[in-house]
Amino acid sequence: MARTVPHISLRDLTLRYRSKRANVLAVDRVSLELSPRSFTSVIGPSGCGKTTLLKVVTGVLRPTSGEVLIDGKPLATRNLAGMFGYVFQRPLLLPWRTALENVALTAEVARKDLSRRDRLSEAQHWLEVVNLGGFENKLPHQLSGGMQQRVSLSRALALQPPILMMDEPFAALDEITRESLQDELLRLWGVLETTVLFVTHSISEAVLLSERVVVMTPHPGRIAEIVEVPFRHPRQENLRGSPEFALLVQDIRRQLRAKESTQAVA
Amino acid sequence: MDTERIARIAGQIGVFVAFFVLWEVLVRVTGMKPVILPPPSLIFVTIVKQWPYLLQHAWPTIFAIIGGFLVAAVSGFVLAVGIAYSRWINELVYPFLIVSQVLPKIALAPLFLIWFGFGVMPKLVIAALIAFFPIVVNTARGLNSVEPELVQYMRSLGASWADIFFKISLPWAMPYIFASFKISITLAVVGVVVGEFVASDTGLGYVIEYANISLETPVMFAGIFVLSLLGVLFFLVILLLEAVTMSWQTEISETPETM
Repeated sequence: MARTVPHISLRDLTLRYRSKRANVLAVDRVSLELSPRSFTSVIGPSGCGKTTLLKVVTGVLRPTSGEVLIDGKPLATRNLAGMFGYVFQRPLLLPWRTALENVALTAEVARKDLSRRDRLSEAQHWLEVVNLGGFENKLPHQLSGGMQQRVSLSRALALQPPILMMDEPFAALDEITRESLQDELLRLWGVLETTVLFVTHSISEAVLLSERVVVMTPHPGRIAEIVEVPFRHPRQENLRGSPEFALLVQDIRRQLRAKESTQAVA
Repeated sequence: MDTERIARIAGQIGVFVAFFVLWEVLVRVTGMKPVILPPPSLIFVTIVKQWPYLLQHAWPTIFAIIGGFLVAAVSGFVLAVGIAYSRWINELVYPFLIVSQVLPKIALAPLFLIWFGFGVMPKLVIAALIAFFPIVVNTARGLNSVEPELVQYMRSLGASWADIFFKISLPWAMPYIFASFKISITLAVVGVVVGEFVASDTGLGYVIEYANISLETPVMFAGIFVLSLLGVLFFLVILLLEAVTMSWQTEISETPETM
């Protein structure tokens, strides 16, 4: 799959929510480079501005100051259609559509030139990519939570987005399902050549999946630390049990705790 | 069909039967005059005997119910779309809607007689007016209940307003819309009958009113029975439409609460 994946730069992004009662600095001077095909996780406690940051990067929210550059050009000047694929914490499938039709929705909107048959056969392909072959005619409520999330991932992949935005996509799943989906994502990322920005509050998940972990702290939402994850891709499942893995997780946990306590004092 | 379900349906029918049997027995034992309360058997005989007359007057009622309901559904839907998508329309119109809901619209019936004269118009207008509000409120609420992240996803695909509306919002609002239809169709029946009481010389409402004046109580009850039957039939039609358009919903069986 040869295609151009853009470079994304966040420059001094600040976002301030102003309401009658409070003046919240949700994101405070965040700068970050997302090089093509990189896998970056953003981690931090609730309220540290992770999701807000994601919304600013995708143009859903406008920053109070600072800018997002896509290949050097301001986000606002770009046509963003087809640029970002989304996977949210909840699968958000359309309950009246089968798994296949849910995935086909992407092509239905983004590529209207395709015939219905082509759309469905393509959707079939993307369902098989996430190992859901055989479930295409099931309605969402007939699928387990993990399967629904696979459909949601498949729907995002069907866009073949240069950048995949994942907002705590596995947070609502049980541990076994979560691990199998993590493995799945690792395998897919190796194949798809997509930049991934992955928001999570699980340290081990961030370490397992990403090349870089951006540690954020709340009030105001700031980057505290950017940790490079040294493990080579493709990563195997058994990485979870290795001492190096445990050490790195431990290290990031300690940093988060330290930040928390200094903040409590302040 | 499992035995549990058969037992339940049999029980439900049993309650109806018991009600009418009790009624019949009570009237006979007390020797009550048919002018005060006719027994069900007499009402049934009257329905059979007066069938052509009842049918003749059922048609105008049926047309007025359908007409009033359709007017309410179409105008209610259009206004709901306005309310759901324009904060400006929402803020402007909502207080007025609330007040117009509190207003007992049946009290306007005599006024409509003056405005629209005798005939179809007043009863249609009353029916539409009563049926209108639940449709507006529920449809607007349904359209607003769409998950914002889903809309965000659609926008990221470059979806047009029409894409989002027809592929996401409208089907999403369907359970809400049908919930309001079920309320409104019954209200439309009430509206039409009130209209016929006040300003009509046709329709089952007129039959009831006229039988009342001439002390033909069995005919009055016959009219009420046929009218109730009509109400049930219309309700079933809505249920059928719901089942056809939202076959996926019946399996999940989670209908949103209605207003």
